[in-house]
Amino acid sequence: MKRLLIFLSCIFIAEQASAFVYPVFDTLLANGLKVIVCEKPATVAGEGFAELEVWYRVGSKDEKDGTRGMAHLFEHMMFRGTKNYSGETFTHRMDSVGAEWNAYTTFDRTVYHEFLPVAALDMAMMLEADRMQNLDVTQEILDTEREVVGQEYRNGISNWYRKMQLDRYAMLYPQGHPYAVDVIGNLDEVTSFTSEQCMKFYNEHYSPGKAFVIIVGDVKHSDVFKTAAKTFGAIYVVPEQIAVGSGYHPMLNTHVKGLEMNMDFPLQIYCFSFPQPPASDKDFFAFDMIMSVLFSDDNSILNERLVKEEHSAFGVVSVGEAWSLFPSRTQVDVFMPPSPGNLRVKKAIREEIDDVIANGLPQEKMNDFISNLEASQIMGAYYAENIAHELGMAEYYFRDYKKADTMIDSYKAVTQEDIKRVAGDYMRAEQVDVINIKPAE
Amino acid sequence: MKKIAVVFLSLFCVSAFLEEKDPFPEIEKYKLKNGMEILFADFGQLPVTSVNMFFNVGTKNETPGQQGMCMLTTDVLLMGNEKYSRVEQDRCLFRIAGDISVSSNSNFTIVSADFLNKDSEMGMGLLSSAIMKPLFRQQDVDEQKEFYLATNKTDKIDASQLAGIYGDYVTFGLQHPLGRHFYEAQFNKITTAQIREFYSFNFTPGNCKVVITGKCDRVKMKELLEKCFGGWSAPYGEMNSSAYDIPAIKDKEYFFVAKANAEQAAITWTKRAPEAGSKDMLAFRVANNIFSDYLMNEIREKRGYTYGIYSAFSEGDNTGVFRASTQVRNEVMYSTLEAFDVVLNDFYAKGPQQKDLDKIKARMRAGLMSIEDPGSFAMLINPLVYKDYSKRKGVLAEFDKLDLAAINKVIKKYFTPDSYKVVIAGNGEVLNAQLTKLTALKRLELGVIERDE
Repeated sequence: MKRLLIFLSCIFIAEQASAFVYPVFDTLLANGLKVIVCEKPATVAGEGFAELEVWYRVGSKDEKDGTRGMAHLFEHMMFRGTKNYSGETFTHRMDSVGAEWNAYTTFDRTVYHEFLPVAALDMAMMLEADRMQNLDVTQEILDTEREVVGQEYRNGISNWYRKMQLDRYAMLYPQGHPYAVDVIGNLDEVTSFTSEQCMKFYNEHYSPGKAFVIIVGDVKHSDVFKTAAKTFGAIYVVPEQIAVGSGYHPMLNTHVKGLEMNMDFPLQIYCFSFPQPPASDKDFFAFDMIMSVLFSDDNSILNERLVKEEHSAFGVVSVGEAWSLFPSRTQVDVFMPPSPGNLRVKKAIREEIDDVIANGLPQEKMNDFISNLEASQIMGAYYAENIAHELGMAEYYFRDYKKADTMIDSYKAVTQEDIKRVAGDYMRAEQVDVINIKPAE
Repeated sequence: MKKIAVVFLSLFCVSAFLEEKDPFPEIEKYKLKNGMEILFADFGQLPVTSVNMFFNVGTKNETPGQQGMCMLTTDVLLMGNEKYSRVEQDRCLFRIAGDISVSSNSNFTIVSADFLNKDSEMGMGLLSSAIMKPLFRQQDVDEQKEFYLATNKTDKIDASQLAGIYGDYVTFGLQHPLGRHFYEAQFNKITTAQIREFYSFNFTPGNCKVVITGKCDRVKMKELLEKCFGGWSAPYGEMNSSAYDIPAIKDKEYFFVAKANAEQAAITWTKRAPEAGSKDMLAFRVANNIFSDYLMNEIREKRGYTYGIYSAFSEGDNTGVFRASTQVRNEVMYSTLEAFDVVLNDFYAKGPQQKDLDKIKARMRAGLMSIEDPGSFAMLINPLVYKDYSKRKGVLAEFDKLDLAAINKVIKKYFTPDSYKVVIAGNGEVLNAQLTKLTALKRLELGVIERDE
């Protein structure tokens, strides 16, 4: 089951608009693990490097009450040792070859990544395969790591904006929604997890059928596939199929739980929150284009009007994940000095949204959006991590990494009628809540 | 004929092999008619050009009353010029996915532009217009000042920021440009005319060196450089010679700054580092990386006191000191100070193990060899820091030569356990019992930095 996809064979003609510039291959192991390899040549002569990423289809969406924060804590525990190798051994082996290694957790996914010399790739794949099946959570190590995660939580709430975000997050979703609790979880629950709870979570969510592997770098795909078969392939698990976005949690016509918040900081923020379609939804590309062109790009309609021309706001920023498995809520923050006159900002934003609903987006802005995407894909091809991320997002959310190659076409296919309809469905006045966040009196 | 070809091919391969371990390519030096110096270095295979202008101006150039001037000047620099309004400039950049960014630190300011080769005319036009003809509009200046003041109030920022600001203050003092911090009464007095004057003096072709990396057509780029920057002239030609003294740190000194309701305690330790150009530099950087790992291992991995603790030093922005910093649970603040001393004492007395030296050398070597983009590569060439490029080319060989004896030598010089300045920022009420254990603790009022000397 070997496939070859050459996105663009010759990098020297890469100035033309296209997607990735290096060949990509994949194989599916018998245990259900897909391995994707992108052959990106070395930048510096002499030593090739590779990005290795293992994507697990587990995130805070998979937590229940009482285990809030488990997915993120697990990201930490995966570096703390297996039945075969201690955490120190993992660290030492990675460090001894100069690897950069880390991990991150979102609502939907947990990703482990290493950037290291190609000569050390086999070793890293062996260690990744080992911790996919042999993790050993001891209560002693868990006790220490719980405190570290607790400290990460405190670091967050020591920052005024992060604290505000955490407080606000509790207002966004109805109870039972997969994104109802922030990824960091609840401190009191995190600091009382047991090793039994951890192993249960591990056994449920860490297996080849619920993961995929991406390697981008100065490698030959045939060599990588052989190593993958020897390492990850040795993990026997019956492949499991999970439907994308399984379980529908409609967000249209829902509302946030409050429209006023105070914070201990001398700024005022209007948070515009409205329903957002999941990545698999037919409306996704039109919605994403509206978000960029109207709200979040540096030269978005609102950044140009409010920040650069009218000088009534410091910035308009979209926070939160644009791609999600489930219907979610946007959070667009408009930063301003505290002033009763800020009401005109709220009015201006409503005007611009209504204009998009009535007339669509300015065609020049849509053209610029596409031009930017095309040029960005060439600029972004410098980074192995960037390529791995693009492939991973397409594989995760569309079950097909090749979608990354045609992503721009999906945006190009968006029409003004799509824009008007999607803006009307998701951003009409009844759908938009504005949380007014300001300093306490 | 075949044999000759094979011989040539072999020679080429041997030659390529001998050179392949050095990440630094040959550099071509080029000078515009107005004296602006350009360094060209090929990097990567994508059709991208990265233009990096290194200006010899930073916080070090701010005189008393000018705190925040460099930051303000560089921020407003990209907010519109005589040729492009801010909106036009940003629209053009977005369309070509180009990027023009500016950043400044204690010692210098970098303006970088990245764009596809096919857009080089547009990219260079935007860059030169921003650099040579900024407007510094009153409204933009006022708005930036308002934003900085709102987001930097000392009674509102978090404890780690406080510890950093007051760490500079206790290390350098108010008579030193790196010891001062901007505050409302002073910052509001900065006028647009002063910003223009600061710009005119410091942003000149003679006070700038340019590094162009990527894979560009040099003939075309030289034509573009002459076209875009050739007409740039300024009354101040030579490099700024502004330098500063690095204060001695001879004893252990403890300072506390109160942050009401702080969730945790922030701690910084400041110590002397080698001066720029010191022969100790490479060994010191390696030693400090090992020290940072030892701190992390003891205070995070073993004790779980913190999410992270790092001993930071930047050769690129060398202020003559290095600083460890962390945030810990309130109840373990004093234990963290003790743990730090244990690690420092041990490091000084015993030095690192060979395996840890090997690890850090591997990490730093990989850091050099794995650079992927031309902009990051330009930072390795930074001509204001690395004045003799020929020495950069030998850095990997120098790495290989470093042994425990060389590392221990710098440890005895810079990691002395009896001299550092510690600043603790946090909730005074909660921390008070622990603070009383610190002899000669100096408590700092927030307003102590709101003076010009």
